[in-house]
Amino acid sequence: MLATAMGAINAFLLAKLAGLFRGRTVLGFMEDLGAGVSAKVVALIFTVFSVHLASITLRDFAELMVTSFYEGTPLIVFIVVMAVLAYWLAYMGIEVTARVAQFVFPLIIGGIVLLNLASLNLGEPGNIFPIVAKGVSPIVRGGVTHWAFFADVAIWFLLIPHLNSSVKKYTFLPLSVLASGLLLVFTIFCIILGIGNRIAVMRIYPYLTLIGEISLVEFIERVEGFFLIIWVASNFLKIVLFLYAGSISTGYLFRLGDHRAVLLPLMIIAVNLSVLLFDNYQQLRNFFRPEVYAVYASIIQLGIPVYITVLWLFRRRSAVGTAN
Amino acid sequence: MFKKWKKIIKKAFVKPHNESQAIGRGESKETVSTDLDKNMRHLKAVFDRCTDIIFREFEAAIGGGVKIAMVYIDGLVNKEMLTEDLVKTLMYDVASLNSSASVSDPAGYLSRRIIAFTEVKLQDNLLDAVNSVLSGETVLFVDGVSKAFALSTQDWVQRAVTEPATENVVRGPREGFTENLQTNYTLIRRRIKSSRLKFETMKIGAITKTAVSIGYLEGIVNNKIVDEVRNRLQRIDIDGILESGYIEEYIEDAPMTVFPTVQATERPDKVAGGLLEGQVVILVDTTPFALLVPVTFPQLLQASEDYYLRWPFASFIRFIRFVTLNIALLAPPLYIAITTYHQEMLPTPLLISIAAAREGVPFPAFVEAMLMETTFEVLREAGVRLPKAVGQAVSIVGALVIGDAAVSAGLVSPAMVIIVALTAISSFSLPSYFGAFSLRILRFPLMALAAALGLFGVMAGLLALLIHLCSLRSFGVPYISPLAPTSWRDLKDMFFRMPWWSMFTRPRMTGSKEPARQDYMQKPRPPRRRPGGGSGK
Amino acid sequence: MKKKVIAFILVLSVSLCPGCWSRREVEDLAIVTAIGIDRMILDGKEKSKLSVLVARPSQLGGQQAKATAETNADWLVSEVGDTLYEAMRKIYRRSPRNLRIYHNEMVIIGEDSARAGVQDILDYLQRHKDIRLRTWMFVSRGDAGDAMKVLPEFENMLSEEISEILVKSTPAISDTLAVDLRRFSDALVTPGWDAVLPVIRTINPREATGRKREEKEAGQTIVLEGLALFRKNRLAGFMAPEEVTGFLYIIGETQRGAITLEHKSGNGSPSQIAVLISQASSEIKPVFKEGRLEMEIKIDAEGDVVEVQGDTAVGSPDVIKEMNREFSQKVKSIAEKSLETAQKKFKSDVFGFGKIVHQKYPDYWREVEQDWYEIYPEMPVTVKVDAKIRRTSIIADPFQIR
Repeated sequence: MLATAMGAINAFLLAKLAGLFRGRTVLGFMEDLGAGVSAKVVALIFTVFSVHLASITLRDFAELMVTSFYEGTPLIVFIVVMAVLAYWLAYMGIEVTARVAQFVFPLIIGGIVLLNLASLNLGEPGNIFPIVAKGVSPIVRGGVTHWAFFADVAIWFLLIPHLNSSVKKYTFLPLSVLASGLLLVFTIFCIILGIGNRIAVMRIYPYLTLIGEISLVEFIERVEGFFLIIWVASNFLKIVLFLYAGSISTGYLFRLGDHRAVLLPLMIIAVNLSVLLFDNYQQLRNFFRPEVYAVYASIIQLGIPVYITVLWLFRRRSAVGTAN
Repeated sequence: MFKKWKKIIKKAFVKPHNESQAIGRGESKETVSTDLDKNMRHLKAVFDRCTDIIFREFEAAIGGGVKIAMVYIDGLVNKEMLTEDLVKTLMYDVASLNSSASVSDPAGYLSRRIIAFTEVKLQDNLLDAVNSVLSGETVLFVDGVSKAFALSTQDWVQRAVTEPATENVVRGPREGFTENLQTNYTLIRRRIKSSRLKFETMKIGAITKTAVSIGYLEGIVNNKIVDEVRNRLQRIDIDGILESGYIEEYIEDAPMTVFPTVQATERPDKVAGGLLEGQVVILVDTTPFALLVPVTFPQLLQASEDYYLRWPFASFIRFIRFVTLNIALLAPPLYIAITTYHQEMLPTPLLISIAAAREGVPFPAFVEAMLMETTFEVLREAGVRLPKAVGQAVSIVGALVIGDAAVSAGLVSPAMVIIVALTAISSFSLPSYFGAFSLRILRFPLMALAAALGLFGVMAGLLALLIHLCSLRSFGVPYISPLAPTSWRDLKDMFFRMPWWSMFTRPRMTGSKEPARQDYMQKPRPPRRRPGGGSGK
Repeated sequence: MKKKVIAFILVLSVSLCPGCWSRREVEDLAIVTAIGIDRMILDGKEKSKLSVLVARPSQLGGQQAKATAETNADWLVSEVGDTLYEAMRKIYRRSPRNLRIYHNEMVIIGEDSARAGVQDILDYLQRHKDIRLRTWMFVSRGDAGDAMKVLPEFENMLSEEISEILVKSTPAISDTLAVDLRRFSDALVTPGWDAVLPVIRTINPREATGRKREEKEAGQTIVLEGLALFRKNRLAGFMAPEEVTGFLYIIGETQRGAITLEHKSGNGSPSQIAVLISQASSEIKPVFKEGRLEMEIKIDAEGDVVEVQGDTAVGSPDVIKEMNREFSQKVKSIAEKSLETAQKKFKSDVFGFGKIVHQKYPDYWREVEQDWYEIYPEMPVTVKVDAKIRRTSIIADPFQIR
């Protein structure tokens, strides 16, 4: 919950800041400020960050598929299929991406809410109490890091100028973070209620476990398929986003007119990384530990905006100074 | 590399013709001469070996028996009218006219005073005259007059206005378009009595010279769309247009997709509804299928009847239609995916009965499904092509082969038969035959994906489909438009059909020029009670 | 455009060419419906014995199913291995189809195995992705493998029979408790809460008609009887059905149990009155009395008179008043009896007293957590019951012949 609030505030600041750019990307804005070199550096960071996250998401996605649904199928099949799809969509450009997202998003959100509601009847109120003793953190740590990608917000940073200006930027970003945070809290609540704190901590995929338990009127049960659908759809969007952002910043880095040119190499890099980066799944889980991931994410989530703000303030002051 | 090939191909199939070359000898820009014989010689040369062309020469009762010739096609004109109103008039009745007065403008005089027809066109050019004859007019040549008179005597055997074959309704008008363009105009004009309803006609097809007409409601339609339609039609260069399907393939936005981006319909009321929402209609002579553009995917799922039924019923039917859409597309792939990959998702008793039913079936589920679906498609096609008398036999054979024999022989499992039957019924329940077509085709790759990767395969296929759908446009309108980009206003008429009095606006994508459809606050309500009157004390 | 087509072909080929790793046709599956786990010593080494019941689809459902079953509807197979997984692999050697346990309905743990400790078994059950937390858990008297040899009397499959008894019938009598893997593991991992499992026993009723399978088991049938009490990792002992009723009163999970009251009105002989519990709830409260932890249990129960043997005039409100007292007394006595068994005899905290203390007094809990099992058996527990008879079904006074 704290994380959600932080994320929302952060997003608000980012949106506010993005408002300063007046229709240009961060990178273009930085160039305006006369910080061409550091713009390049930031672009590089963005690129690395996006590609890295894309590959991690791919790997994480494929790991779940293999462990929970497709025993014996090579990891790479899922990674490649997803990557090709993501490449295609990113290639089609932001407009089509937005439309796809618009179509898929209600399905994802609706699906999650539906599953959560269905799982509520499993709930044993007693399960909620042990939290008092140890707090919610083990759960968040145990399972839901798969969700808690508030760092994605930083990626929107790059995309904001591409959005329709009629969208109310200032409210839309923090609101969406807040909404996803609320959904997250709701989901955690359902997990604790449904399968209990201690078992949830034990499980690698507590949400999937919860969904496996759903049973309505003795017929609608074993609905993991829904989870699979949601999981594929949401990861797909995420990967597309990373890939697209990565291509934009790379495009800037090399001063390419058309960012599409770098999409394919980026995708291939991401696919390779996703296979090479981690030896086993436990390494990947380790990476998602708050101690590691939070530090990693805050570089991009906080570091860059702060840097830009400072830069902007500095320039403005000097501009005012020269005017006097 | 590709460019080079293109060049080679272009050279091989050099563009065929300028008009006169292609059309044949004798037609040129020659003008009508004052010499009747010369004109007739020319026409007879043009219509060489055309036995259905009738040349009739006679002398009129005026001007001292001036020579007159008329040319028409047997069967395209109303002979009775010709005899009564033209030949008789000229040969007998005009004698009573004061014919001694010399006329300065004989052509004008004739058309004003003598030729008693409602529509008379004066033509200078022999080519025009030939075209007039070909389109069923009677052309009159008068000796000494350098003009040809084209009289609208068209009257040919045509099908009556009947109920359309493809889009049937329970409630709603039973009229369908016919092959006659004029009749089709009438059918639309009868519904929209407004001077804002415009039709622009052009001839497409170098040989067939088919009349193609663009219709729209001025002020409501987005002019850019009309211009675009006009441009695309004008770009067409083909020898003949026999059906609106030809046009459709030339003006589509996405020629390489299975989804129709142009809607074909037989229903005038549907066209009228489309016009009122800012769509453009393309009518083609000689076909009952009109084309509506731009069209969005959700519109393909809507029947005109939706607007005639009361809204709760219509909404319910729409909901059912979304369900059947999904069944038609997804039932076989999901069956394959779940029974071969995700058996854990089935309830235990169901799994056991499916397993029991499949016991002894020699094919894997995928092959079984492919087999059955293909058989069904074959049967369906056979049902359409066969003479009506044999249709019965086909359905019996189909029912026996698919339904019974295959199951009892242990070739397919009963579960698969149920799935195929469900798919078939579902795909029939979609109102647009042509929209349902795309689903029929897409089912097969999805089945292959399901067999290869289970639910993930289906999901990947659906995502690819979604990306494709989202990237489509129909005349500038995003193909899944009220959904994405989302327009909450238009969603009123998408999953549900809200009551008429609540749909204040035209669809945003096509009707933004004059958005208001009706006045607000028209919800029926009981009359307001008079103060002091009414119930109560 | 061309690229789009190429991309699509790529996706298709990627998915089609190598495809089908995890594919299994339904008819190639052996659907496991029950798992039995036993421990045995072979050559001086501890081994695990795994028994599974596999459904035979051809004998169940579908039009091809033969009405006169010549073979059993389920197939029992067991193997021994160092680990459970190894035993499962050995079963594969004998199975013509792929064993799939995602439709497994129950796990039966043998008595010996349960006494030796269930930790390793739980690891297997929790780690296996196909085993659901919904799986019903049982302890069998004797070997689980032996219990699974019994033929079902009513249903086609033994697993179906057991789970139907558990789910459909036990709520009506409330003398055992349905426990699934989730609840079982939750109790095991929660400090201050010990697990219980329902007990499966084979009996040999005279009327039971044996069908095929092994001849010596003919005539045997299965019965669910009472609960097995765990103490931490190990099975501590069994609780008789009558005591289980008391146990259920205390934890407030009684659904529709029946109780027999003895009522003596006037000078006649006492009449036996059967009362069907329609509602029961409980509240467990830890209190400190003179610095010592005590438990206060308050039970509220409601019931209907469903049978009168004797001539108690249950139609009269005064009699009902008297009976309420007896009702409460009876509930109290069986609750105390169950406390006696669990707390004093087996020293097993199946009521979750520790958990409740943990929630109420976390600080105190931290002090005593280590030696809770010393404190718990000595802890005084008081039971207060408020039980009421509400209705007498559709006649009032007992049926009388004059």
